[in-house]
Amino acid sequence: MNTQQNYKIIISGPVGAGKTTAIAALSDIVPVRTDARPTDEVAAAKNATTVALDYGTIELGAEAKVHLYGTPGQDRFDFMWDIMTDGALGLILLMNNAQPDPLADLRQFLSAFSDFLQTAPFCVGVTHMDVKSTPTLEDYHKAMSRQVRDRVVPVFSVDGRSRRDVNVLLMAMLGMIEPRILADVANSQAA
Amino acid sequence: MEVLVPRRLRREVAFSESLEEQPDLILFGSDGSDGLRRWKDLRQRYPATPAVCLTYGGEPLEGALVVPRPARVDVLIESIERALAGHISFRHTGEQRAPGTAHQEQSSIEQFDLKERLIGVLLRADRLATETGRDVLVDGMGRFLFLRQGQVFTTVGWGSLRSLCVPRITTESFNVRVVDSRRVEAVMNVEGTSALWGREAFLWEMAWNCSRGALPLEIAPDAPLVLQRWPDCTRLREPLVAVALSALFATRPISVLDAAQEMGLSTTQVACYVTAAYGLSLIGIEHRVPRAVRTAGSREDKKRGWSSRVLGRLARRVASRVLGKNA
Repeated sequence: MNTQQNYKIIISGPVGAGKTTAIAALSDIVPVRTDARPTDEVAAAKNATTVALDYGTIELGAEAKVHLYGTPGQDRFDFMWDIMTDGALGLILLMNNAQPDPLADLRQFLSAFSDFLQTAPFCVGVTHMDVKSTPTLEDYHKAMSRQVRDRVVPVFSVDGRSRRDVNVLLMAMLGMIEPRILADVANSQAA
Repeated sequence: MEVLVPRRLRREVAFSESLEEQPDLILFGSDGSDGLRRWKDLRQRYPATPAVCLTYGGEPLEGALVVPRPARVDVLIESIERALAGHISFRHTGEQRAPGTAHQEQSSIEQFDLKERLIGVLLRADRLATETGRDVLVDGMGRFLFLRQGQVFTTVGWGSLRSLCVPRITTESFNVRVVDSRRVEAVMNVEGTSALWGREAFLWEMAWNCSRGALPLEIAPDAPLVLQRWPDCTRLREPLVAVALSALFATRPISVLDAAQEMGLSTTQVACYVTAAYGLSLIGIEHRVPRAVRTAGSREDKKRGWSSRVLGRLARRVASRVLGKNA
């Protein structure tokens, strides 16, 4: 009998934020992708975009497996978001700073996931800051404080291609569940 | 402010080793009423080391080349050259008494190399300040020479950097020893010639290194602190402790002492974190009655099935990737 426990983490954000790349940086397997040639306004920015979901895993031995799901970025797929977050451990939101109004994107995603985010840990990674440096991380914090009033959410600048950056983001999400775990890891690394 | 430039150029932070070294040059900022006493202490500790002193009044200090500040860049460069030249001739005198060895020749080469680097970085910073019309902080010179419109404006400690606009920063690949007015010593190591750091990450590293377990004066070890904004952890050199402590201080007001106990970290580690976060205005003292914030490890998380064992395993896995080790 298979006794492996399964967990899932959701990675979401607008088109071109680097969700697919981030899953590739986190996953132990070659990610499953559902890319298609875009037929809408996305075609101007990308040759291919996610139409169903991206999928990867982090294997934790025989005992547990973490499933990583990346949502499609277009808001016409938002009906999927509720389904995907059901039972998820947490959410990583990736925001594309090169978009015309990334703070509006942030507000939209926070609204869309508002029920889930009332209880689940989440963090925000801002990509493409090398392309466009504004809004700054402080602007994101300010924008978020209007919608998320009861906690201080991690917001980091992230290069979605960097395995280190994406893992730091995931680490912050784990830290919000149980900070002591990370301290234990830090101590064991130092020893 | 004192800056002691170690003789050997290193690429790794090595506090204890470096503190045993004789510096090649002392840049001393005579601040406050006890400047003279501090200078005497330094001279006693390093009697033969050449020194340049930046003073506001231009008052003489025995055994040092005094430069009134703010000093023009060319004046400071000239003073450094003169001080180092004196030191080289002193060494040559020593060689005449005891015939030269390979070690001494190596010292002279390093001495020349050091001078070139010091002056080179000053000239580059001056050029950058002129070309951009902006202020430049020069790292690699200890407590940070601040250039504005061709003048070296005193040095600044991490505490005053909070209000300073630092658009560009030049760095240099040598270590410096920093001794601040609270007698806290640290070695800053900056890698990569002319690399530009992000301002926040740069200030974070600087404050962290300068703290070495000391807290800002305003913060008592038992004062409840609360995180107001997370640092940009992806840009920190060692993000693990910063992420862990940010997560803790974000959940509820907690003191340095309690945080150290709860996390199983040393108070030095927590103090370094708090000093850096306070320096960047990311953390503050909680004066109000603690609000009802969502705490870590809530019932909802447990309903989702997290167990500490699985979480710990995942955290180790993620950390090993962050630290560049094999998972």
